[in-house]
Amino acid sequence: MAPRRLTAEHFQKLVAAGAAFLDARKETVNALNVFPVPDGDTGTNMARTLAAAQRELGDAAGLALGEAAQRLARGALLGARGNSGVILSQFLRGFAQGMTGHETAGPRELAAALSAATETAYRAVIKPVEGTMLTVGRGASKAAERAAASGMDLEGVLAAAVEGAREALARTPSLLPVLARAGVVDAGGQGLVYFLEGMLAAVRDAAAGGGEGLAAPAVPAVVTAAASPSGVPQAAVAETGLHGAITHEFVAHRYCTEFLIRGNQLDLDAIQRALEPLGDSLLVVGDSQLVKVHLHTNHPGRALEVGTTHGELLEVSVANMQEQNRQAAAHAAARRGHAAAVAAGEAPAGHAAGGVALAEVEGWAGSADPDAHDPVHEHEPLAAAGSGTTGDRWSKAIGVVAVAPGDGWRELLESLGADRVVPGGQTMNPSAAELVAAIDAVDARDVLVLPNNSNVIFTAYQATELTTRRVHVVPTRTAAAGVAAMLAYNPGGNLEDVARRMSEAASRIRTAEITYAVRDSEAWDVTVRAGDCIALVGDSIRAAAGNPEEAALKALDELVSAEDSLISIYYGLDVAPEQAEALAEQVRAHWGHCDVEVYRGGQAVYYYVLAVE
Amino acid sequence: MADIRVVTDSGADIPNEMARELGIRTVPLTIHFGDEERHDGVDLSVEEFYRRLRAGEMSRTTQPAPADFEAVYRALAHEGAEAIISCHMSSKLSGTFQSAALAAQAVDVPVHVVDTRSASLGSGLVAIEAARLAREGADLEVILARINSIITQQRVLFMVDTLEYLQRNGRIGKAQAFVGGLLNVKPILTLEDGVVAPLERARGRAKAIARLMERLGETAGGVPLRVALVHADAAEEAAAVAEQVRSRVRVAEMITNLLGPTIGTHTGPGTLGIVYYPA
Repeated sequence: MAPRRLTAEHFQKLVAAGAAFLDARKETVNALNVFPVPDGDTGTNMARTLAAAQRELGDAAGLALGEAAQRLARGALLGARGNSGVILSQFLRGFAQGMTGHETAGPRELAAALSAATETAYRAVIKPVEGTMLTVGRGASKAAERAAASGMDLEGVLAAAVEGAREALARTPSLLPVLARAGVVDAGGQGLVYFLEGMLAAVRDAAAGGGEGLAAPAVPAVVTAAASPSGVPQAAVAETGLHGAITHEFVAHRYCTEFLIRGNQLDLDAIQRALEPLGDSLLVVGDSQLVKVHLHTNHPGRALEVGTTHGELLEVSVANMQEQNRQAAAHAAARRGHAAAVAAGEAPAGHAAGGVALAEVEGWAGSADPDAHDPVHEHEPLAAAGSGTTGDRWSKAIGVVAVAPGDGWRELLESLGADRVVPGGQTMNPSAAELVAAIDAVDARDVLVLPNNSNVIFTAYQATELTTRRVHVVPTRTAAAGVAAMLAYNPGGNLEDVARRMSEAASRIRTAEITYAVRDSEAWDVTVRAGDCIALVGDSIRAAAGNPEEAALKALDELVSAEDSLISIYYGLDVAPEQAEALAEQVRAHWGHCDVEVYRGGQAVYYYVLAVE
Repeated sequence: MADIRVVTDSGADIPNEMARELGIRTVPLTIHFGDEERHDGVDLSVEEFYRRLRAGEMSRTTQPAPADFEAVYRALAHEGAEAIISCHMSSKLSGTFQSAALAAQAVDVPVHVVDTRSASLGSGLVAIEAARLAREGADLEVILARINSIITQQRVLFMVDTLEYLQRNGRIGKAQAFVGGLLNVKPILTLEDGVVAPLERARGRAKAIARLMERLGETAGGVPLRVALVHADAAEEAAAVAEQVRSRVRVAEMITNLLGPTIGTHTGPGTLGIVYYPA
């Protein structure tokens, strides 16, 4: 008989089954990539995220279902890899929230928890894009709600969820043009479908009286005409970032409340239990001496009170998210208006607000800086050069954690001042926990994180939630952008100013990546045959050629303008230094107005990364 | 109307004719090439200095002795000076200020020693404006107030070809953070609280100058500026940069000069700097 209520032990088995089902098909999901490139990793990332989650869950015997879900979620949040892993971890987080306080769950609770999962995942992404894993999750939870409302049992609700997910997955190409162009469905969505299918198979297995292994359901043909896999396109998630900021009009819990609690023998579980009833998106991380709380609530005062009963509060921040949304919408409208005015010739282009007017800053407008010494009367002895500290226990104000896709990149980033470099390339995305470990190890008051890969950006934002350190993300999408950002890094500067300048520096370069095609593709402006060397520029394939150097030259043809003065060639593992130098010579000959510099990046999969500025 | 005279040091990089015309007295620092001693602006020309530097010679500087200042203060008093304003490079960069301060205590004529917290024409512009005001017959208090104001408002942006000179001479300050780097980067620096501080880096000279111009534009505030442009023996480039400055900000007055041996010792060939404040 299938269980009538879900217990923690059932839950553990179902998750294991779902994870195993996905794991067995992770290469299929990996191959689902809009780009016909060799480094798809959505399947691996989701599988590893689930593996980490399960390790944290451990043995669920004797736990309440809510507790088990909580543990699973925590493991997922920390172990999340890649954008898809992060979104999956947010689904699990929402699911756990939905199961708070439940010893077991029936069909209605299950459906409600699935809805909570979807809500949390959508909320985690600043600009949710339809046609991705989010859509599939919502398809699942909506179907589950309908099934529960019509009185179905656990198996029925889960089966409905799987059906809803499959339908939504099949729809993804119609929602996201680039999927349609490649004639495929979304990889993260496929991963989620496999996970749910695996769970359903285990429930049915239990119903059939079995219990070993998986009774794999018929795998639906999820790919259409072009019969090519797909993936979460870089473009779709490129602009997004993780934060509690909500994009829905109505905000259930208005105040994003964050604070640190400093004390002795802090009891994280007790703090968590006390705060849970106050709102959602609760995160409690830290140790017995320092805990960070993040919560969305309508009663920030009560949350702070809870904090005060455990220790002293530090760095309290309460933000009105609804107001932030209003302002964001207003700014967006103003920008559209400004853009329209510029287009109509009614307003000058360039910074809407102008450069920082000196008159507004630092009392330039005539009044002397009240803190300045009177230079006429001061007799300061010759101070030792280089003296001057931040006045507290850190060795500097701002430190940097950067992700590097190769050891050459690591050396470059470290030589430019990065404190900790985390390995992670297109096929090896670091987990949130790995980034947290690096962040925690930096000897600086504030930490900046450079993900240097658009598939690591989410993970970086997630890491900021999981550490008690003061940390911000500079959302660099490539390692070359990371190098450009490091040029604007100033360890003693003002945090907001430095972060902004680093972001701007990163956006001033244009890059191309040269790799090879693993399959034919007609989805782009150039015809691609398996084995061709291809150039990726931005979000599309711009050139195909017989060898990497030819592809590189074609890419540069597209990128280099008369205003540029520097072309950087970073060569990967599969390229000999002489080969790279030979390419550099050709580039110099062709674009005489530019300097050309060659560096070993040591990245896998990509023969060359080119940066133009 | 009091006769107020202005004194400075060779680290101010004031163009010679201008100094002569305004009656500014410049006390030279000593430039050492090994055991050889020269005096900046006296028996060492800028051209010779950079020639030797490019040939790989290394120089050091030592501040004037208090006695050197005393001599100048007394001479000026003898000429009728009733008060002296002595403007000098940042006391955190050089002991010159200290020497002047000691000398000031040893003479009868009132000497107001000013720590400009700057260097090169950052220090020089202060002296120039003080001398102009003195010429116009301004009161001492007015001049000192204006000096204060300039010092707090003045901004410095400069780029060096390599941090080697700053580092070797111990003046690298907070820019130590920019040492190293496998890329061919040029540091963009400023003076903050009288010491060298880092701003950002750029890949190559052209980009460094472009970033200097962008930062200048960001912080100009839309008001007319008094600007000084100093360069280490790169006249053509300096002319081009001057053009760019004029097209980017409103210039009330621009003074261009070479970085003399005093500052050049610490920054090296290839240095380019801009000093500016609201006119």
